Amino acid sequence: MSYAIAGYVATAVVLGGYLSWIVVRSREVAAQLLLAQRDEPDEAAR
Amino acid sequence: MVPVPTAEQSRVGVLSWMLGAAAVALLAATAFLGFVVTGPDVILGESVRLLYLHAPIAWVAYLAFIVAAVTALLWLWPRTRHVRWDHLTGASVEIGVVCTGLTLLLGSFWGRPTWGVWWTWDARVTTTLILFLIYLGVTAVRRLPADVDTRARRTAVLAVVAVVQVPIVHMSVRWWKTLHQDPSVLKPDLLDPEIVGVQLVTLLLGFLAFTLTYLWLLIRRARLERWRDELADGGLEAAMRARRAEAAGRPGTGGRPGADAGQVAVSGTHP
Repeated sequence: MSYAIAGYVATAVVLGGYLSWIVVRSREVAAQLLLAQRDEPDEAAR
Repeated sequence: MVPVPTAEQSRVGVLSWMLGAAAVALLAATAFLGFVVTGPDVILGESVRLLYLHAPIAWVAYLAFIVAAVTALLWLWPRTRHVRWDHLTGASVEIGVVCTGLTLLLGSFWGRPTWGVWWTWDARVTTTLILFLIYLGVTAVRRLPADVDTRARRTAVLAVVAVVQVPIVHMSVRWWKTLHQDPSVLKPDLLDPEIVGVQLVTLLLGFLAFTLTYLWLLIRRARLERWRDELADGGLEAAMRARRAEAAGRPGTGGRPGADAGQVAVSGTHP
């Protein structure tokens, strides 16, 4: 039983960790994109 | 905080949310059935509970590599070439690598009580390890500094070539003498599975749950690839504007993130 429990925990950790990494990276990149979009009108004015 | 979405992006966001909710619900149901409703197996004992994860995750790894090969072909074919296929290829390969690694890990948890060892150079296990290493190599090549077209071409060619290993892994239990059992469900006679009753229901639910999880991860990971490319394009455009401004004798670029030369060199070649 302990091996089965370890397998379920490992699956949750690996897939949960991978999803968390995707979410965190997406938010970082989205924030940088938003900043870039916000700066574009300033650059166009120059 | 995300960029203002288009109507298509909003639809993808809603689809992603629905897929995520369905996947989490089905994964929870699989775990409940696997631990509470089903009992130990007559032959495999308690370790049968790992079957409900191990087989579906291995299936998702196959699926991910096949999807990667198909989207790679769509990128390679000039009439259908679009950067979205490259984003899907890269995302699917990466998810496949994660699932193959997890398959090996769960196989190890299975092997210890069943075979008495954590690892053995069995045909199925060894070919799966080779599959993992091949696709790990593909992800490494994808991260090499290059422009978008070069990166996409490298990934596409490798994804198409590497998928040959998938049927080798699947058929390894028939082609060579092996400790690993034959396929329980994914075999020529799909209507005559090796398991029945609530065990079969749990296993099929696991297949559905992990397939939805794969689609959910694929949408999110491909979107991250697209955003990275958009950010890299923006950095490159800012650098070109800065050079034009310098040539015209005007100082400054407007303070955009990634607009200085060092950052542009990184973002412009980011995978």
